[in-house]
Amino acid sequence: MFGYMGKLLRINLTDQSVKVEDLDFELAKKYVGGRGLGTKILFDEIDPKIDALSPENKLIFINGPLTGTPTPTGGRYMVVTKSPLSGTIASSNSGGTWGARLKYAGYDGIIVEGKAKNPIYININEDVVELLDAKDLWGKTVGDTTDILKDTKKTNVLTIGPAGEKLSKIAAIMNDKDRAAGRSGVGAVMGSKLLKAIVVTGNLKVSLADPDSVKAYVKDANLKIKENPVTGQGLPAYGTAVLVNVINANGILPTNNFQEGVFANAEDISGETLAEKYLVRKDPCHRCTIGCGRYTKTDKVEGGGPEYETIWAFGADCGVKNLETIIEANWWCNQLGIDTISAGSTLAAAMELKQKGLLDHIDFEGHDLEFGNDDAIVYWTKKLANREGFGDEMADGSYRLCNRYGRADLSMTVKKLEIPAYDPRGVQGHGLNYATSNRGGCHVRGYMISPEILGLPTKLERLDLKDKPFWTKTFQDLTAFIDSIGLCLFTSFALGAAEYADIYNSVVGTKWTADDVLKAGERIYTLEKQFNLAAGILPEEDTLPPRLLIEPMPSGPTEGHVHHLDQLLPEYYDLRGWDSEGIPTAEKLKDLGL
Amino acid sequence: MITVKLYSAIRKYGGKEVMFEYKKNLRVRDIVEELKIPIKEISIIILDHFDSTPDIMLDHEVKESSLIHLFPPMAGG
Ligand code: SF4
Repeated sequence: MFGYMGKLLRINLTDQSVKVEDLDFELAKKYVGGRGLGTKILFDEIDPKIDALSPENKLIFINGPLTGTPTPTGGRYMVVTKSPLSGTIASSNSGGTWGARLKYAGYDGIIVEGKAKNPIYININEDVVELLDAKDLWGKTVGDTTDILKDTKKTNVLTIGPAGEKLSKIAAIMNDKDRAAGRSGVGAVMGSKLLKAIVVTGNLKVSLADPDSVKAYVKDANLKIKENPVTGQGLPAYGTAVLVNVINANGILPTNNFQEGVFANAEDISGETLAEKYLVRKDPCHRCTIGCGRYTKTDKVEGGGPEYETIWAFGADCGVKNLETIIEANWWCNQLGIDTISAGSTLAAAMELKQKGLLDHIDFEGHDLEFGNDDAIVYWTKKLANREGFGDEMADGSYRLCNRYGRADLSMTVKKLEIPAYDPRGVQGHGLNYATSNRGGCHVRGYMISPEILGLPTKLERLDLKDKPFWTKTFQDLTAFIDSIGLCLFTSFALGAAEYADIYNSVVGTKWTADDVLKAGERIYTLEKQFNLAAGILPEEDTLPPRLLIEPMPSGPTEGHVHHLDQLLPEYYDLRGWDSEGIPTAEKLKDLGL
Repeated sequence: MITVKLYSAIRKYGGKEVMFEYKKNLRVRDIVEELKIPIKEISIIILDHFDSTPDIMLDHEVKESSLIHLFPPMAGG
């Protein structure tokens, strides 16, 4: 067995048992690893209808076959569980080093079951696995917990912060301090099990099917990454925040909770300003030859980030132009263990509720949640994560907040997950991706911004509908494969399906083609859909917030446009081999071996 | 006057913003050449809210008060 370590850890917190199980290699090959294999295991082992925060839910940490290999960006892992936020499948990807370390400790993944009686943490040092008392760690920040538990250079720490402990449905799981399996509330699932942290130490190697070929393909891929102006220059120099200006210039930078698409102060919060004023250095994940990660410093805080999405959520979406405050809000999200996209977007939704006079009874403690008030974003991020005061009403995301006031329409979510930093009214394919993403409003299931805005790998007119269902499906399927092998999605700016097939084959020993890669991705995507249907997610939930479908963009380069989901969905379902309701046909399931 | 906005790596050719006098038949390409920006360093051109591939955009004529955004290759997410 190459690429895989061949072992899964099964840890039951209720009876404190630890089992080492052999990985089913045939199953692993069919579902690849990471996102695909994790979904298959979860679907086989839980009833998708269960309450996500009950002991019956399982929390799966799972690597891909390329995690921990010398392949570029081969350090990523997935958290797969049922989401308490959306009720859908949750699969949250993270970088850093923790995932690779789990391989170096000898495991492809960990299946956590049940619920502990008291707070505990798991300590793994290759074949020694211990469940230890975490009473003294409970309540501590991500930074403090990591400092206490990280004792050697070969140790990596994954933990939740206070937000996960308090079951905030937008809580993240953090690893290596600043890296987040951020979305879908996976941190709350960990908190519900009273599991504070997983510490991993290990020094084993991943065996490769054809080490010489791996070497050659890695050299070739790294050259392509270096020579590509995006992965070789743009991302390392400016990070993801370089997008602020180009998204704004297209009139799709959601501003004031998606009420507008142009933010007058975009330059103040741009990647260029970040690099000029606050950047200390690049902060790459394990084995990454791109290095989009930022390490920044202000007078108040110092640490990883912020990413483009974070800058948007606390910046333009809240009408805030003070980048220093945004960096501080990002730092607090990392410390308290909360998803920056959902947190910023929830503050923005609260600001619109207040703007509409629906929160006149709320005590804002001198920090009014008003668009443009930078004083409010750090204050209320802390309160939200700790469920204090009005923060408690925001702790479960914008959908539940807005619904409480009878205005669910003001929540900019799909399937209750906050939509990130691109207004679908000006990017029709990307909007289709949001509506059909299996985990809800997510940009990294099928990043159609690439062709529609950035011209990668080829330029598609952003407002056109033609061919968008085909492109969206292809991007979604390829991404599902990349998320499953353990590489970073950003490699796809320089590499295509054929290159992924070559690298995968040299590590695992298969003979896959580019078509096999896309087919495996399609299988995984359809399996996720099946999970959601079994969980009771309704076909009509493949939609967008009404504002984006019926309110034309008021001004700027996207003025007058709405999103035309009704015209795109039928063709998309058809291409997927799903019926007109979005339900996979028996024929398609058979074709995919599901 | 025509406003040209430059971003990230290509700011080295003229800072954040450059103004140009309008002339008849002036194309985006003429402005790029005047700024001495190698065409291969430009990947996104937005002219008065409209964008397409750089080779199409370079041949567009500008208007008296046009706004042009020039970006090098970039990505994120
Ligand atoms: S490109 Fe960025 S997110 Fe991806 S592995 Fe490298 S540093 Fe991490």
